[in-house]
Amino acid sequence: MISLKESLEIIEKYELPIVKTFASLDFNELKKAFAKFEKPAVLKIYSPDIAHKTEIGCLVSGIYTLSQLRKAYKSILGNTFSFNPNARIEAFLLQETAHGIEIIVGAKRDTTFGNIILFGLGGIYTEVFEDVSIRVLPVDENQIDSMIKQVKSFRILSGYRGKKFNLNALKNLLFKVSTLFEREEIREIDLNPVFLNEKEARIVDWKFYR
Amino acid sequence: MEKFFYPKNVAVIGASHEERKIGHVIFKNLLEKFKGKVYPVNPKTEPILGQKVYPSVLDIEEEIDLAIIAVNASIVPKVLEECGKKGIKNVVIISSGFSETGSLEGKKAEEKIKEIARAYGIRIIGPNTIGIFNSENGLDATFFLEKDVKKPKEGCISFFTQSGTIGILTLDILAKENIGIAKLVSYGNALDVNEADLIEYFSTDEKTKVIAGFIESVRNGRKFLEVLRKNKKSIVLLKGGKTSFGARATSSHTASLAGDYKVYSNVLKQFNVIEAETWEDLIDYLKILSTGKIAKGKRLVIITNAGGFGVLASDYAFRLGLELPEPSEKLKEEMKKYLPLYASVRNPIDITADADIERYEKILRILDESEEFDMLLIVVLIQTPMLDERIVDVLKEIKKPFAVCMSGSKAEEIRKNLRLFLPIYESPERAVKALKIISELKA
Repeated sequence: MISLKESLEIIEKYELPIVKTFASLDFNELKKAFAKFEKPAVLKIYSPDIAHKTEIGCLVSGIYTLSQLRKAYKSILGNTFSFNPNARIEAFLLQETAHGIEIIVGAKRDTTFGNIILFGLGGIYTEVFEDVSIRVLPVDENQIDSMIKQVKSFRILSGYRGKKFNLNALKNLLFKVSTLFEREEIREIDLNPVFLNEKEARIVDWKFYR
Repeated sequence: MEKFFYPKNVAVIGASHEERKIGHVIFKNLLEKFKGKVYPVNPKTEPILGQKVYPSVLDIEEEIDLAIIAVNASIVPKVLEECGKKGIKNVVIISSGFSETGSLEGKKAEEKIKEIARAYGIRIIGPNTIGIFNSENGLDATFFLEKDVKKPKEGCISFFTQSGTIGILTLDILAKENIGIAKLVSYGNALDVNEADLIEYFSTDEKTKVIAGFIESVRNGRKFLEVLRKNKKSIVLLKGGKTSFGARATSSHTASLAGDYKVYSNVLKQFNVIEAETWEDLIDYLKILSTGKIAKGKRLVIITNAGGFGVLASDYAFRLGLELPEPSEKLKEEMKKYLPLYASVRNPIDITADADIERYEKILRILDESEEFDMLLIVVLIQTPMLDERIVDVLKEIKKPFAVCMSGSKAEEIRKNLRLFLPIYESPERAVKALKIISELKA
C-alpha cells in the first residue's frame, strides 16, 4: 500500500472526488479542522497494517461534538494497538459523512489480459452476489456505459423507488480511474466504498498498491 | 496457417499396419476422403491398404505440405527433425505424453519439440490432439472412423478446441443434427498454434462465417484481445475451468472479486463474444448460427397451433428481454382471411389445433414478408392429425431468421429423415434462447 502522502498526490493529480478529508496525527490540528467540518463527522485511522477498520473499532462515525471527537481519537488509538501493537499509523483522517448508495471501483493487472477496471454496488451486492462488471483497458465511453448497465443491481441505480443517482459522476470516476491506472506505476486500486447520490460521487476509502 | 487446412499432400508419420492403431485410422480416413496425395511413413515398409510405405519423410521425392505425427512421444523429436530437414513447415502432432501429464519429463519433451520447431521454422498444432478436419477437401486427419463418429457436411462454422473429447463430440453431434462445418481443430497443449492464432485465421477464412470454440485458458491474452478487436464474424465460446480451487491470498476487494473466470466472462462480453454457459447451449446456439441469419432487432412473433407451448415461449421471450409486438390492424385483417373466428391474431398468433399445413403456409408467408417483426418462432405440435412431415417444405421457405419448436416421437422421426437443415428445438425455451442470441449479433 502506498503512503498517504503519495495517495493524496495521485488523488489531486487526477482530481478523484474524495469526501472532504483532513489528515493529521496531532489532535489539536484535528480539533481545529473539526470546527470547519459539516457534522456529523467521521474519524478513522490510515494504516497499512489495518485492513478492516470498522470491525476492530478503528473508525468512529456520527461525531457531532468536540468531546465525542476526543473520545473517538482515544478509542481508535487504543483499538489500533490492541489489534496490532506494531501497527504503523500514518495519520488520523477526519472526514465529512458521505451520503448515497455504496459502490466499489477497482483496478488491477490481470495476468492474462492486462489492465482491467472493476465496478459494482457495495455491501452485499458485491460480497454476497459478486455482482460486478469488468472491462479491459483502454475503455471508451460506450464501454463504461455498458459496464455500469451490465450489473444486475443496475436497476437500483437507474431510479428504483424514486431515488436518483448521478450516473455521469460515476462514469467520470470510472474514466479517471482507468486513465490513472494506465499512466501510473500502480498494480492495484481499491476505492471502497464510494458514495453515489443525486449530485455527486464521493470516495470515502482508497487503497493504492504498488 | 493456410497449409494446415489446404495442403496439396499429406504425410502420415506413424501410419500403422494395425487396423485399430491411431496412425492407421488417420491414414485410412485421409486415403478415403482427402482430395490430394497421402503418404504413409513407417520404418516397416510393407504396404498399408495397398499403398507404398516410406521409411522416413526424407524418402519421399515430392515436397510435402503437411505432416501428421502419430508416433510414440519418445520418437517425436526424431521424426520432427526429419520433417525439418525435408522442409515441411506445417505439422500436427497427435501424440500425447507431454506437458499434459504434469510430469517434468513431459514438460522437457515439449521444450525439445519447441526448439526443433524454432530451428526449422515449423508451425505446430498439438501435441495431444485428436487432429484437424476440413469438410471442403476431405482433410479428415482425426483418429476416429466414420463408423464410430459421424462427420459433418460442409457448412459455415469453424470450431477450435483445447479438449479432444469436445472436438470429437462436436463433429459427431453436428453431423447428427445435420449442421454443417467448415473446419475443426483440436489444438491440445497449444505448444505453438493457440486460440488467438486460430480465431485470427478463421476471421479471414472465406468459408468460415461463425467461429466457435472451447477454451480452458488463454495462452496469449494480448494477442487474443487484438484478434477479437479486429474480428468481424460471430464468435461463440464455451469456457472450461470456471471455478477455482484453493483460496488465494488477496490483498484487496478488487483482487478477490476479479477472479479468473469473472475476468474471462467480462472480456468476452466486452468484445461481443457470445458465451455459451453449457455444452447444450453451445450446440443450440451453433444450430441457429449455422443458418447464417442475423436478426435486425428484438421483435419476435410466435406462431403456434398449441396454446401451452405458445405461452411458455412468450413467458421466456419476455424474461430474456425480447419484444412481442402486437401485429398492426392491417396485418391482423390479412391473417384473419385464412383463420377460423376463434383463432387469436395477437402475439402469439394461435392458429389453433386444427391448423393444417396450408394454414401454416399462408400465415407464415404473411409474417415472413411483414416489416413488423425481426424473427419468427414457429411452434409445431406435429402430433395433431392435421400435420405430417410435409410441414418441412413450408418451414424451409422462410426467409427471416427463425427457430422451430417441435418435439415428441413424431418430431424425432421427421428430424431423422430430414435431408436439409432446419433449426428445430425440443423445447420452447431453448428455441427462444437461441433466437435471443442471433438478435444480439452485430450485422
